[in-house]
Amino acid sequence: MDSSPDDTALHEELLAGGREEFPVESFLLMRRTGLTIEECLDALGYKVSDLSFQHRAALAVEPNDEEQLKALLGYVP
Amino acid sequence: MSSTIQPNLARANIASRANIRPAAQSAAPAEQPGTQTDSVSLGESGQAAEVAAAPVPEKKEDKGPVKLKPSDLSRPLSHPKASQILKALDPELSLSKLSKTLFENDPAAEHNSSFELRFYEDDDWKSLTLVSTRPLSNGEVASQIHLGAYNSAEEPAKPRFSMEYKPEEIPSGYQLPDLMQKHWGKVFDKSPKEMEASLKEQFGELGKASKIRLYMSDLDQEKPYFSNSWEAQPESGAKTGVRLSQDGSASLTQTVTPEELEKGDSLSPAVREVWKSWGLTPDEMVSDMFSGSLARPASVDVGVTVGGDKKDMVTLGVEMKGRAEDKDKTAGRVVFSLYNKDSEDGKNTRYAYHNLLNFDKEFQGKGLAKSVLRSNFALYDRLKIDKVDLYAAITVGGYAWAKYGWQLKPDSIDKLAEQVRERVDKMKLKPKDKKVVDAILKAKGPKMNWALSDLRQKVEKDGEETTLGKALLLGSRWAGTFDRHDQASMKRLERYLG
Repeated sequence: MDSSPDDTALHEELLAGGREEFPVESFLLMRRTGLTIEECLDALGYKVSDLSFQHRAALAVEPNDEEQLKALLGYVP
Repeated sequence: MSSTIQPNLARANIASRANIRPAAQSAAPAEQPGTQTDSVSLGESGQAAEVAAAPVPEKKEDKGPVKLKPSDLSRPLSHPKASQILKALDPELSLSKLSKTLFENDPAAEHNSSFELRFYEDDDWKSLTLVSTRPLSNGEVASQIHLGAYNSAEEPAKPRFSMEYKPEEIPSGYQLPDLMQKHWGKVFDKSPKEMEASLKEQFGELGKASKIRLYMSDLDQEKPYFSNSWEAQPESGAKTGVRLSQDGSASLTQTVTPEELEKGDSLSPAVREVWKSWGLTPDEMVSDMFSGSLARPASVDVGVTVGGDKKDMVTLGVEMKGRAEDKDKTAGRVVFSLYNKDSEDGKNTRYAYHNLLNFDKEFQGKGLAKSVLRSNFALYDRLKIDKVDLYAAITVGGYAWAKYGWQLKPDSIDKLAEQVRERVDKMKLKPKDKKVVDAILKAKGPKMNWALSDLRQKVEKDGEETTLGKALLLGSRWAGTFDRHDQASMKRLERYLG
């Protein structure tokens, strides 16, 4: 049996105060399914021009190349 | 009134009072189904309750109560609304059958009792409670049977059954009503008597039970959920609740004030012994969590669970109040458990389980929720916790926990995919959006929920414009885990707690 900690006040406060950042992990997950870069960016609501230098560079990396991604982002997304 | 989202309504608690529906508030309900943590706490009323089940009910006004005479029980229920609710909950049940459950051991007492029927119904919650009051040598005694069910679009209402009585009502000792007796063996290896004996062995200082509560749900399943809890009166004077859970574990929870906790001797030796393994006392944990916080601890539930597959399991539940001019205002309630268990790869893993994070609306936006969650993670760091588990549920949770970095537990990957597919079938998505969702679902990974939550295409759901991520995940239910060693998870969390 499961219980849940869910609470409106908790989530409203956290979501409202969240920092928007390109979800590179989701982008890579979607890329690994065969979706194109354009399809992924469109679905995530981003344009290339919105992205930081690192994330822009990550677009070009083969999505399963963990070594390159780590070198670029500092961790394996 | 707390502003809360009812978590896991599929597993929502059933309250022992008819006027309770499963929407959360700060006080622990008197009766809840088991959870992954299976611990026990005392609610505001002092009744034994399971703190682990986060859903804490919100009181709603009863319709009724309808006064009944013993002779009314054998007649068809004349109140149309109550009759409708009873049929909806369980077409096989009648008042007469419910009453027989209460009076199985003492049929003659039925004639000396007075009855009240309480019921409640709204779009998502139905309940009906039969309360009997009868004179005993030590005064009036009330026992009650509660039937409740939660309706949701995704899961039809399923009856849940609970019964509450006092030991003196059962002249021949601890016996189960028929309805429960036939299911007991499916769930527990030991008889009720044997379990009670083993509990006394575990928690020897417990006094005589003063109120017993039995709870059943999932009656249509091969193995229904079944739990038994009671309130006890140990010599220490701390309110104590005991609970037997389905996994064979037994939990004991004591409720103390922060001042009593600081003294250190208010807790029973059985509780203190299990806490030792964590290297921090409950008092130290509470002090750590609330140092510099907007809120202060007002009451603390300290629990331990023994006998299940989780080792060294402790549970801490803190009722929070404000400080300074808000010192009398209830700020919310936090409940979490800590335990060791082998993870899927067979390695011993230190887990935290978030049972309840409930904040009063008045404290919303002041940073309390963020500071409490941040304090919890600081504590997990100190205790070298590997994973933080929870059950994401109704309304915001199914979306928000994914945004914060909780991944899907293996069992939940297919379950969430199914929920999302059902939604997609009902929505008029553009082909390009459908293609993206299909691709994510086919990937079937533990971080599938992240990608779904991050979808930002504008879509219409229930007549309102929202993002595709919210349309797919708000109201979804899944078991999640936060891997503290996964940097991607930590980075996601930092966006909200940083």
